[in-house]
Amino acid sequence: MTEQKKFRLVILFAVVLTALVILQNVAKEYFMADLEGYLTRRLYYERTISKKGLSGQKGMHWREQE
Amino acid sequence: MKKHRILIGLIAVLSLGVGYILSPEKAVDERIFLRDLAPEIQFSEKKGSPLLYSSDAGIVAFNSHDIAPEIRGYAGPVKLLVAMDSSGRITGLRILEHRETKNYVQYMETSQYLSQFIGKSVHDPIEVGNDIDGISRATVSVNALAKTAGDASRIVASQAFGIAVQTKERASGSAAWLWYLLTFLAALGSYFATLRSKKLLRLRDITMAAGIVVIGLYLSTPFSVLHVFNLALLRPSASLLWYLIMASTALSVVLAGRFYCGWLCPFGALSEFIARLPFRKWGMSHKMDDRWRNAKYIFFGLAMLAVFLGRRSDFGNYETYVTLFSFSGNYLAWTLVGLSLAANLRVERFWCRYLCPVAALTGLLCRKTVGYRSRQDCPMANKPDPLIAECIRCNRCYTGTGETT
Repeated sequence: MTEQKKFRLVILFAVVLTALVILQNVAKEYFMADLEGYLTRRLYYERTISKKGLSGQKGMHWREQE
Repeated sequence: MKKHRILIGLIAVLSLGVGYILSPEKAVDERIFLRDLAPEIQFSEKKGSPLLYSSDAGIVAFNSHDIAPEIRGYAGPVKLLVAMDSSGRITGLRILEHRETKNYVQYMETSQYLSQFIGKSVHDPIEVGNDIDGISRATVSVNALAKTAGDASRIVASQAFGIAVQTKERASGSAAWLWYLLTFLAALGSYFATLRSKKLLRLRDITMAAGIVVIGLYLSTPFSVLHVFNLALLRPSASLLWYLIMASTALSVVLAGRFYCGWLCPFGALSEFIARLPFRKWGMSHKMDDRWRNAKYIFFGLAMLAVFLGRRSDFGNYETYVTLFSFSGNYLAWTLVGLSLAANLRVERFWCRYLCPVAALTGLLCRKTVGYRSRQDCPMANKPDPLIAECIRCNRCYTGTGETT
């Protein structure tokens, strides 16, 4: 691999990382809070509620109990 | 360069205007925090003078910004929701909102840190270094937090419960600004000395080392574009150090272009010292080098767009020196720091040349100066007769005809 190609790889990686850092800063404010809430609810449904054969709504009762 | 200036200027003006219209400051829903603060207590609506949430249990709650709005941290007020009983004792405290740089204040936001305010009386000092723990690298922010909690509580205790409280003026004992000023003046003096004599070029190594130790490790306040973003969003600081950093950097840009990058920036200094290690550097064409150097302007423009449209300065927080010298950042930010430092083994001043937003900003603002020709050992690996925006004024190649044009 030539030195120019190695440089191009490194700079591309750095550019992608920089873009991701900025994107993450913005996404954290607008999307990640919602996404985190959804994933928490979904995981709780999969792990606890669905095993009891309950719908999501009925499962709220069990969540309070637990 | 003229095209870059016009484009970045347009992005700044337009995004500031559009952001002002589209993203007004949202008021925090204090009721949510109130339920979290004291779930078992029913509070009334906020009313009276001072503005309070009152309850039958004798506990009152208040937004510190309604009571003492003049207290500011590094980037604006630290707004608190405080619950207090009728004897003037703090029973609960939450941070409602602040604009401090997240990297520095992560511990300040934790319930573990805030719990030390619980049980404090308005007769207690409520002072960092006295009965409240300080946090290194977040001194201004935690001072503002403690002063806000203490002063607002005393005002409420006095006006709502008639408790006689003594307020004493505290002397600000921080000499951080003095350290910065001395480092800056020493570096500027050395810069002008090396313009006259090449024998003094070693002075630059000393000021770069001082930059790492004083500005990076001790003060942890490298100049950042977040300073400029906060100023543009009309969120000036209460810190003397903040004003000194802004004023000295502006002065240095007028006098000597990217002097800050070459003589004071702790990350730039670290990069240059790494680049001096005996590893052969990768060769590349000037065309390719020039093309990638534009990336820093693109990212600076994008960050500015995100910050001004969203009116949130932390959207533009991608600077490696902020991560490194605050010792705080996520895995992406730390990977970028590691890559930017390691790359210096093969590419001189990798971050400064291709990605640094401060390099972009100071490069855009510096005046054209003749006398810098570049040479084989240029720390920025500049081509002969480089653009002055790419020159960090190390003075190695300075030919002695430095009139500005």
